[in-house]
Amino acid sequence: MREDNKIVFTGPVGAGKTSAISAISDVPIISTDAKASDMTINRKGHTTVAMDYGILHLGDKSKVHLYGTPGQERFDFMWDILTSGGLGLILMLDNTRPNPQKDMHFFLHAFKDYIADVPVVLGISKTDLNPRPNTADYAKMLAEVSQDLHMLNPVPPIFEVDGRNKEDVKNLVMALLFSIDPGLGMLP
Amino acid sequence: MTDKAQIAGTPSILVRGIGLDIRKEAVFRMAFRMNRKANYSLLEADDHQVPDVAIADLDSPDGLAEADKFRKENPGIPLLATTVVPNSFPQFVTLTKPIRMETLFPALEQLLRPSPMTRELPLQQPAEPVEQVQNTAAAATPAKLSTSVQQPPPAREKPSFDPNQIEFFDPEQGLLALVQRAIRDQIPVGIVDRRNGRLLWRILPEQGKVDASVSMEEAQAIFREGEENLVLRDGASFADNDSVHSMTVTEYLWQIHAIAADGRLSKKIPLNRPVKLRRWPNLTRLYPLPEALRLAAFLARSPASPALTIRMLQVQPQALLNFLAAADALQLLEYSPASGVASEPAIPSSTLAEAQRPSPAKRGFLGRLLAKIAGL
Ligand SMILES: Nc1nc2c(ncn2[C@@H]2O[C@H](COP(=O)(O)OP(=O)(O)OP(=O)(O)O)[C@@H](O)[C@H]2O)c(=O)[nH]1
Ligand SMILES: [Mg+2]
Repeated sequence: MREDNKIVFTGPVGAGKTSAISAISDVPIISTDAKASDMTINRKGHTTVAMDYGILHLGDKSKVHLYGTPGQERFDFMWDILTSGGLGLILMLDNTRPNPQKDMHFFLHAFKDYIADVPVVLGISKTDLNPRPNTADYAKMLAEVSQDLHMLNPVPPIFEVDGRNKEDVKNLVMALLFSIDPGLGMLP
Repeated sequence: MTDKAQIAGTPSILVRGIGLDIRKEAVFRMAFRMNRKANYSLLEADDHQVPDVAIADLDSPDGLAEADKFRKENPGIPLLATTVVPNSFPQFVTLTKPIRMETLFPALEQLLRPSPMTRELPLQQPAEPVEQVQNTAAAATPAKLSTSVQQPPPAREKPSFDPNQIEFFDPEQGLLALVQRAIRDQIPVGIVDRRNGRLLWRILPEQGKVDASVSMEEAQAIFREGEENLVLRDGASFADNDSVHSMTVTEYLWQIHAIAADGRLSKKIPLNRPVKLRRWPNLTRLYPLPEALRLAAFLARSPASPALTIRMLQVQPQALLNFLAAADALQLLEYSPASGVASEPAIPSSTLAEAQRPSPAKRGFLGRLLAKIAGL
């Protein structure tokens, strides 16, 4: 396994991380269950206790690992295992949570060393349930929240997404890839 | 994971967890699955097999006491103690948190190697972890990587872009200006094709929405037939057989400006002075314009003039100019030289393009990933 071929999905409980990984993974995703030693297929409506894991196969035997962190805030222990190296971070924020700015602050700071080296992309979920704040509001929040951060991409993509919608998740990941190299996929 | 299959036949290295809460256990299980060099397996609490090695969390409530007890009862079994304060526990072999794959497995291997184990362990020399760490470091800093790329940049085909051929349009004249004013002054208006009296759009600024009876493609065709055919009219209503859909004012401004631009450069935007993207358009909820993700990523990263952007990204000029028109309508662009944007760097564009890129191998990989995602 090449450790650098991974994308980490993070964000608060219920933001849609598990849904997003399921939407694009080539294999049924594996969620680490707290009780069982075996891999259990994640079912809808469950909170992820430890991690989600999905794979994108690239045809030439190489693959990209998709990891989802647990939403609960106190498990930064795991994130250290997850975030050594990688392609980037997808931060999903839930628009129905009481204080999304606080969530944004928490997760960007929890990953502050990581996002100094790799790009971050913000996906705002559940805007169908609660349209405000909108992406412009989030851009303002980001300016406040990130004052003491050194982000590789200080002007990150901020998209409304539905974690269950494949097109939305594809756009998040593609925006992440273009943030690494805007020239990707053009003629050499 | 196919990696795992390669070692499926090898015996498990049994690991006893000490003082690990259920979530830490879960993470170790995941880490063990991700490690392909050896078959580590964390024992369940009620599994009384003798472990090969133990991992303790000294910072958990009972971690220290349990670790002491385990050592007394199992003096021959190596124990790796994890803690945030290694200096406080000189009696243990410690691994300082945060724990990383790159340090966890070499530490376990080291502990297991000298111990008088009764069975053959499928361990290899620790050459690979070093390599892994290097890969990781390199991957984490794609931008810096390129400084070590020694090859000269590959010859690039010159994009077919002639600045003299660029056409202009003025978003502050004609229909677009009227639409902007109606939105600013919160006046509901309809836009009608005067040739047949058909209501195309009804703009309802107070509700922040626009009702439309035409698709983006139809609108494009109508614009090409002549913008002068379109007039503002209040009180017009949709025909019964029109299929009307709604969009936000933001969505409308984005697409109507791209349609009106139709491959031309807005007169407001300088061709040869830097343009910066203040923030990304909400692209998942806007009409998809060709190359919008790429262009947004490029202009968000550092200011570049439209001319330089076309040369460096080798995009179709029309794609860039439509994107700029749409983004400018949403006030996402910053381009007045007076606003403090640095002037264009005097580096030859090809050098600049190469300097910002990951290594060719990495680009190849990312390109395949991009194609894969796009095709999902
Ligand atoms: N209405 C709505 N529901 C969503 C959206 N995204 C996800 N959901 C639903 O929200 C619930 C939580 O989604 P998950 O994917 O499990 O969220 P998670 O981030 O993995 O949550 P944790 O594992 O608890 O941290 C599920 O029922 C999803 O179907 C969205 O954009 N809108
Ligand atoms: Mg989950």
